[in-house]
Amino acid sequence: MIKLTKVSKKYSNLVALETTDLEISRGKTTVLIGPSGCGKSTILRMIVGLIEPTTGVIEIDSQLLSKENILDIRRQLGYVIQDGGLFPHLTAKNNILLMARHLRKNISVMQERLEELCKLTHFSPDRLECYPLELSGGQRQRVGLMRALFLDPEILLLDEPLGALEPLVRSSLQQELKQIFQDLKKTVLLITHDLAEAAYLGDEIILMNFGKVVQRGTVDELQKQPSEAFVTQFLNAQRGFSL
Amino acid sequence: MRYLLILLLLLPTKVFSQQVIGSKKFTESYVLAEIAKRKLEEAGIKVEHRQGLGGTTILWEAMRTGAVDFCPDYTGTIREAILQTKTTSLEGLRAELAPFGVGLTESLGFNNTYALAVRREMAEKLGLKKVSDLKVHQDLKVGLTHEFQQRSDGWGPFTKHYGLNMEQVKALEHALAYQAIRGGQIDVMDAYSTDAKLAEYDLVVLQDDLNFFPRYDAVFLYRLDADPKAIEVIKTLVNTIDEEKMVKLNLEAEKKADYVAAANLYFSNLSSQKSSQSVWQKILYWTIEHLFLVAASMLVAVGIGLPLGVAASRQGLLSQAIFSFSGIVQTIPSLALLALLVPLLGISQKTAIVALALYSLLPIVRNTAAGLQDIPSNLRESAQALGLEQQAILLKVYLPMASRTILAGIKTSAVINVGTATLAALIGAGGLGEPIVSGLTLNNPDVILQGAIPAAILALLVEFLFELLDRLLIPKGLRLSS
Ligand SMILES: Nc1ncnc2c1ncn2[C@@H]1O[C@H](COP(=O)(O)OP(=O)(O)OP(=O)(O)O)[C@@H](O)[C@H]1O
Ligand SMILES: [Mg+2]
Repeated sequence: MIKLTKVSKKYSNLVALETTDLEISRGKTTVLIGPSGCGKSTILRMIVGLIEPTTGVIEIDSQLLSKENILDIRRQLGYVIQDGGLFPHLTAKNNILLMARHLRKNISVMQERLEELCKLTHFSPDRLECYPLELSGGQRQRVGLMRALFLDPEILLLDEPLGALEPLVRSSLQQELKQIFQDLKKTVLLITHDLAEAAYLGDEIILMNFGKVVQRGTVDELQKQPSEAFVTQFLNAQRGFSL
Repeated sequence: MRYLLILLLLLPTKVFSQQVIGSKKFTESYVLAEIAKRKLEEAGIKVEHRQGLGGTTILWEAMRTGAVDFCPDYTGTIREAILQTKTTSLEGLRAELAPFGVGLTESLGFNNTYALAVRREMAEKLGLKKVSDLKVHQDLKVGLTHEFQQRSDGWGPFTKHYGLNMEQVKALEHALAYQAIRGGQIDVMDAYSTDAKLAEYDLVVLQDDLNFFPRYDAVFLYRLDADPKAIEVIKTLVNTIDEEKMVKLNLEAEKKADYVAAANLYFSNLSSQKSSQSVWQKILYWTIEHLFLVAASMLVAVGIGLPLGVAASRQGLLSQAIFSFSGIVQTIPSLALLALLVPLLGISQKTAIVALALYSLLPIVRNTAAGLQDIPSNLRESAQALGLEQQAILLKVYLPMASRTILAGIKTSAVINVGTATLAALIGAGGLGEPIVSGLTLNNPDVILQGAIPAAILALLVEFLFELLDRLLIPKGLRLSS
């Protein structure tokens, strides 16, 4: 589905990502986790074509990512960032419909899809005319998710989607996300700092450190067969807080 | 956009068969032009008076390029400032003007030059008529301006030329000299031969009988390709105004603060054609002209400034070049910018609009660039990740997000523009600067206020209009944060 071959990223003299091969499997939820600055967002940004790899190539559904097809590929991806990344000058509804309108989709079809997504994300439709600044953090995140899902992309890329939320909202959104991922059977690549969230949402976990993939597997596998000391260290550091 | 510019450039070209009279910004020039205007109107010719142009160079440029058909001037000015020649005869000047497509009438009947003035009652008592008559009255007290006393073609050569040796000579301020001569502290002073003050203080000019002073005979310049009928009419003004009459006309203009009244005095029917329009009508007319200048130049400035601002929002050499350019334009004094543009574009509203637009550029460019640069990088990434084309991102996301800052820049420009546009009068583009310039010339605060007050009110209204636009145009979501 998503395939990185010998991909690396350097910023002048800083290596954000060492040469990496990576395959993300179809229809599953894969979670990227690791300490701050280890290169998680870098991977996601390269997949969306926001930054170019220094070396290597990226394929999505066997299509090589290039300048020519990047717009098409982006339209098959849903990208969600912390706090939703909503545009302040547009209402929630107009944020969600921005791309569909640009592509001149049928209005009644759009309306139906909007209602469907409101149900799916538990967003109250009478808040649709609100501007981002009039919404709570959780609501903004739901709107961001609806915008990413609107054109029904095969792949969802989420960069710490729940990072800015307080624990109660966060946990209820985690449950909703899990439901959505299961129902829609999308290929999901999600970044989080939180091991519990990773364990709860992810079919598979990729643990990174200093621009390198350290180990890949379920939480169980990571616990029972750590590939190096850092894995155990990382798991223990988080246990106290979130289990 | 390009068509809009072309349209704007074509707009102010003169209507065919309408004749344009130009005048410089001093009383006598205004009055002579008004007289010519009325003469032409009485002959059934359509005329426009572009008044108070900013000086000899600007008016000459206008004559040369055909933007103006007629203007009053002086043989001395033509010789020294325009042609820079030694020729003194009218025929000689005429021959040198012809290659520029410009003709020259005979003298209107007076010579506006340096002269010596004395009190009328004393002149009559002593029988003083000419400078030579002073020889038998060398005891008279002389008061001179510092300039005339010191100039190499001033008092020294003058007394030698006439063989004078006046006993008491002192230098004093010109403004004080009039008081002094009235009070009898001095008896003889230097003055311009058609200065309105000569009439006000009841002085007479001594005839320059040995021709010491260079001649500044008043004449009309005209385009050789102007309406022949109009040229004939202008030529009927020849030899109809002597120094004394001109002094009276100047006095009338300064007293009444009204050139039309002064021109009417020439036709010696004071009542028949009083100032053709009421003050309010004139103010309305100037205001409309002013608004046109502001609106047209703002349209151009926004049309150019927005794209430049977008280009400047990206880091790099181009951005630096754009900022330097619009910054430098801003530092050129407005009069100098007008003077620079006149040789390129002639004198017209078009030039004024270009100058005003250039002046309005910087705030628009700077705010557009700043508004775009202020967009947080996570929102930029969100916009790109949607799969929108660059142009759509700019139009649907970036520009709307920066719209408030951009509008604030346009507002700053517009408010400054309303003030700067008063300078347009100096190149004959009209507007509320017209009463300000003529009021300054006449030294009459009332006339200045006729332009200054409406301009101030306009500036306030423009502020208010932009407050309103902010409410109407700026998406509510952007206003929530402040
Ligand atoms: N534009 C850039 N220029 C220079 N260095 C950058 C740039 N973007 C990211 N980096 C560096 O690349 C490294 C990886 O960044 P990345 O954003 O991928 O980290 P991350 O794993 O997402 O961290 P976090 O969990 O804090 O979001 C960091 O050291 C960061 O400082
Ligand atoms: Mg990150």
